[in-house]
Amino acid sequence: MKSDLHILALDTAFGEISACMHTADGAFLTAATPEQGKTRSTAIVPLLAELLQQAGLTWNQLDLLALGAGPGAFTGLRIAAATLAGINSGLNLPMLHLSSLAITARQCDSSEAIWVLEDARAGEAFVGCYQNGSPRCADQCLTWHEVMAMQAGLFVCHNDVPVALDGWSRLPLTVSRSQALLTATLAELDALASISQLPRYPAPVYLQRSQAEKNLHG
Amino acid sequence: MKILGIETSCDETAVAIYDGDPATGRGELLAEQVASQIETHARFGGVVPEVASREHLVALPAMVTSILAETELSWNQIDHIAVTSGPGLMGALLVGTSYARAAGLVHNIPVAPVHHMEGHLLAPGLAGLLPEFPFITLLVSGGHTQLVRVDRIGSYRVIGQTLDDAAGECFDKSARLMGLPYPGGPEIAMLAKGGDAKRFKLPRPMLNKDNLDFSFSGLKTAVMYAVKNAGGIDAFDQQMMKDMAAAIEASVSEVLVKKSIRACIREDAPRLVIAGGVAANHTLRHTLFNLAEKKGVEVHLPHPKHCTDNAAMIAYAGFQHLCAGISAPDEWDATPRWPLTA
Repeated sequence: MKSDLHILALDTAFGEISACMHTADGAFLTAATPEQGKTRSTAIVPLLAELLQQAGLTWNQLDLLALGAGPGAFTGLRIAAATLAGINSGLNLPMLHLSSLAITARQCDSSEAIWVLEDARAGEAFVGCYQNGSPRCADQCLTWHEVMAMQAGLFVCHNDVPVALDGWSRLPLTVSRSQALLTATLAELDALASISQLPRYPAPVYLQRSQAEKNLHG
Repeated sequence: MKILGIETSCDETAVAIYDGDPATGRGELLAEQVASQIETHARFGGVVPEVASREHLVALPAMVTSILAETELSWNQIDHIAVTSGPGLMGALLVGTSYARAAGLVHNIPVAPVHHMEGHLLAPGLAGLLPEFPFITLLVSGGHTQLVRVDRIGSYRVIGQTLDDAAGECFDKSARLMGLPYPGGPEIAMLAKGGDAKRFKLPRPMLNKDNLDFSFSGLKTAVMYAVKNAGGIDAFDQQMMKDMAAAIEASVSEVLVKKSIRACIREDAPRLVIAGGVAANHTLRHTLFNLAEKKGVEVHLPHPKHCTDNAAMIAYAGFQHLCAGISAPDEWDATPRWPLTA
């Protein structure tokens, strides 16, 4: 059973810090809410240390790291990725990369096909479609105009959508992101033949080019 | 005491390990690595912050692994981590600081935030000892042109600075006017080698002002008019390009050197350090040595490879903090705008 592992999972793709631990005996622990006034970059490391302490583990006892790898807010992605890279310095653990949109989809309690429409700014959206945790298509970055032209359906998101989506129905996020992060991690693990082939370094999925790249390539 | 230095403030990912003895304040650089992103950014004509941050994230973790292997050290032999926490590009700084914090946590190693420009101004110490205090440092790079009085480690006073463009920025913008690729400074330096600096008359901005400040935006405008008056850049043959490059170098160098020497005399601190990317410029160094000798000013220059962004200077600055008993603040964060004297 790959769930017999000590796992540390982290995602900061959409603002908040979501961190959780799954221990080999099946315990599930979530990080506390960060201290008010602290930035994510200063709050994240103490939260992870506290989480490990709660689990009664040392860093060397971890078996796997899981990263909400994007797409999402660039700053959030790099804080989580650089933090996990630092944690993995010397530990050399396999690192499971999870779609941040798949995590969002798991925050919604529905068996229907759900669109995840997260605002990517600059008139664009990160778009994914999931049903019972499985992708119906690849995550992509589309303009909001392209989204408006799609066939309407059920959708979830974290922030307000900047356009009017006629015929679409927004569903509430009823599951905590940490819980969704853990569920996504365990589901991905079950689908893997082995964790030994997983990468050791983080590789965020941005999907969206910087403005300078757009200007250059049109 | 072994210190791992990490630098990701702009477009160079760099790591280094410095081994210092706090009792003597001396030590040696065990290894350093720099991964430059210049080629990546050249196609944009300048550094793109988002692209820089992404590249740092790819490069940094593997470089740390690599430098530990190169020095045959393990994490439990590293005593401190010194990381650039500002000033610089926010996203780029966050990669280095987030990595350093987490690595420090896992390996129980204290992490010290270092001011990027402090790294530059202490860089001559990498070659041996720092100059006797007080000394004057000219920090001159793509983003900075400052004269700083150094009374001791951690005690810095800005006594002069540019009122508009930095000297390196002036090189880059002038190079663009001449149709040269980014980064412009090295391109101009290469061309200037065979040039006659007297062919084009360019101003020496603010040299006659009785202060220690600089201004280089007017020089860039003067270059624009000089090119226009000579028939435009398309009318320039190779020799004219070389002469123009030499004239730009001569103008910038003369202003920087004369104002720096003036600062040493005025502050009664006859020791001068020149640091930052532009300090690698050959004409600047040559002009400086000539005038400094005449005025009785001792000159301390970092090795050219430690003039541009590197992590050796960050590790060394971290070491000097420890020697001086300066401990890291309890709370610190990546700080894109961070005055040296705050």
